[in-house]
Amino acid sequence: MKEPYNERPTICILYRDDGISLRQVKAGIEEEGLFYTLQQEQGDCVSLGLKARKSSALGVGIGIDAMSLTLFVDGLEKPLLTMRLTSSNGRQIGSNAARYIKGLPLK
Amino acid sequence: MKPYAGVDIGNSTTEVAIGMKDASGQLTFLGVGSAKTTGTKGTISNVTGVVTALEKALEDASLTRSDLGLIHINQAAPVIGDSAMETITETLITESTMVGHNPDTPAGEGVGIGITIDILDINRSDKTLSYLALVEDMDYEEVARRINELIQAGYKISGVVLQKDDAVLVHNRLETSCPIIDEVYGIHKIPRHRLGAIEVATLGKSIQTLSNPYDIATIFKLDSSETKRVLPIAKSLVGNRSALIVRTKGGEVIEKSIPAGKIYLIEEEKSHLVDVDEGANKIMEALKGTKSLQDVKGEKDTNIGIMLDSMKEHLGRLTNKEMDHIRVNDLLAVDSLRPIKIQGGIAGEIAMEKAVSLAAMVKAKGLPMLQLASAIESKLGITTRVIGVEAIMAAVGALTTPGTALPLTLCDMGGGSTDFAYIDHNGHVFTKHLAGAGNMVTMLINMELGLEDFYLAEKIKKLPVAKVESLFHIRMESGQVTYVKDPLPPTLYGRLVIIDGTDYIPIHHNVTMEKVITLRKEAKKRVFLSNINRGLHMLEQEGLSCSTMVLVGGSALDFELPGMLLDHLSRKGITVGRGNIQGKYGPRKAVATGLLLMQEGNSYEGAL
Repeated sequence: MKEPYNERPTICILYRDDGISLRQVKAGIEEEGLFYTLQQEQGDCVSLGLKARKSSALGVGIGIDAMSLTLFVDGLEKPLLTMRLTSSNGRQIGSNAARYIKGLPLK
Repeated sequence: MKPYAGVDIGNSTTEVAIGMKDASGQLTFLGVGSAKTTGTKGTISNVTGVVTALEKALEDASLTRSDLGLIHINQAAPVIGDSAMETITETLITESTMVGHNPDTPAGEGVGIGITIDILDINRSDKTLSYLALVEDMDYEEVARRINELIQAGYKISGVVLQKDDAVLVHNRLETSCPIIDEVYGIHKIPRHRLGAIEVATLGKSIQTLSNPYDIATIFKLDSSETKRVLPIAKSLVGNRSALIVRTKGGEVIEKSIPAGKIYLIEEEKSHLVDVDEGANKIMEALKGTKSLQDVKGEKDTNIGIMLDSMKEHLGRLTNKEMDHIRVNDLLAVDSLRPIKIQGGIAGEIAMEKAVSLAAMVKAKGLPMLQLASAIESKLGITTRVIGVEAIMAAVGALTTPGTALPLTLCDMGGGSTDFAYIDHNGHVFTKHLAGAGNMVTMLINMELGLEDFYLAEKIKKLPVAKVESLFHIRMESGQVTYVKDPLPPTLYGRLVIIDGTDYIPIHHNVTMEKVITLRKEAKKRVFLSNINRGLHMLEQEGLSCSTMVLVGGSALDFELPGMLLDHLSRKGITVGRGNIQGKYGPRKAVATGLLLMQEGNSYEGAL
């Protein structure tokens, strides 16, 4: 269900476990000055990411499972980015999700 | 009379034109062909390329080799050019006294003045002073927590400097706002326990205080001579989104001039000495004052001396001559600005340093065209003759462009040199080869945008720039939008690209579209417009005037250059435009066509 338009439009993040990577993704988005909503759910990063995108009024969703992250954007049925989780790349994906919305080149 | 061919062997392309004269001497053009020049121009290895081009022309004319009675090849101009850029200023930051990068996401607004101190040392310090907290590797939540606690405890924190990219994250968690700059990777170099000032500009603007010498004087209590010393700091910070200045004993931003050396413009009777540091205008003025340049030398053991020697060495290798026998016949100097990382910079700061770009043109000894003619004759069994001077042939060929008339000035804008040829009814002929052409334009684009990529610079020169606005559409510099049917790769998103046929070449460097366009146009003007003006001036000195100019050569095909030149020259009453040889070939096949029009002997008058 898409967010109603009288509320602030956000990037939607669906995640399996609350851990370091989730915190990094949130930090990446926040540092770029954008907003997010969170939901914990079961599933793999691809199905989570796709579902997240469909719930986001900005049309941008991030899916995080135990091993990987995906970034889905409106207009693309496959992920714009898929990355294996490392100790530091959560920040990069969060940042890129926000930069995508701002029209800036991705890091 | 049998059909005959004109063969023009250029540096990169070999062009052939075939024609036939009837009983009354009327010439009909029958066909053309071209191929890549094989080997260095003027050597036997060219034969292969000549044969390929000739075969194509024969096919175009529906003829065979046995139909040809004669081949004319031109006396190729043994002219080669080279260019290089010499930086003549240098910026240094001493004692890490300034930070002037442009982080993407600073936070807070305004100016903060305080004593620089590591965040971990504040709680042992004097509560009556204000502090600028320097934070090396620390988690953003902990940074915010500590600062809030310190402020609660009565410490005054007027600004924060972060090593990591966390300014917004920290600022969002502070109870009181203050300016925060981040991405200061060399933060450990910033001197501690010194008076400092930090500023973050409001959204969309640049800093107002730390780029103003008098505000700096106010903050650091400087007298007027000390204020003069901080001028380079203020200057480097103009236009920045954020800045930090720390007052250290000897710390300053130094703008040094790098003595590049002097140039000797050598004539038969005398030499003119010019200091390269005085800039391109002085060099060109001195050059204008010479009647016939014999050579150009650089002062021994100076940067310019080394640069000119290396150019001569390179040209010597290309023309198979000893460096000592290389004579520079013409020079073009252009003032440039080059982005260079500041020495002593803490966050990768870049300064636009002054530079002088030089193009030199060298006339090698005559090329062995007679040898080449015999080789072609042996290979094909067709009589082959060397006739005509290349530049004059080009002018004669250019006259087949509809709308042209004598007197005609031809401007051949090549890669290594810009060549002028003037012909008129009275048999006056004037030719001049000038340094500075397509390759110099590419060099300027490469250096001034800080690309370090000659191939990319060539593409930027030849093709319009565009911005990828979404995964499915690109906005051209003209404003036109083009849609793609398959999504573009994420690496191109939001980037400037050059569209080369079906390829999208990204520009990864931090430049705006406006900068690319401006620099590209300026580079073309500074080289070709200067040379056209020089050529016109030389004609004037010979008592010749020009009202018709035809452009040929690779750079004549440039998408914006002929238009820029038309704009400029029409004000002088000169008709200028890209040639249209034989009314159909654009600026190509000029020399080959001229060779067909040429009679036996070297006078071109009969050709007209």
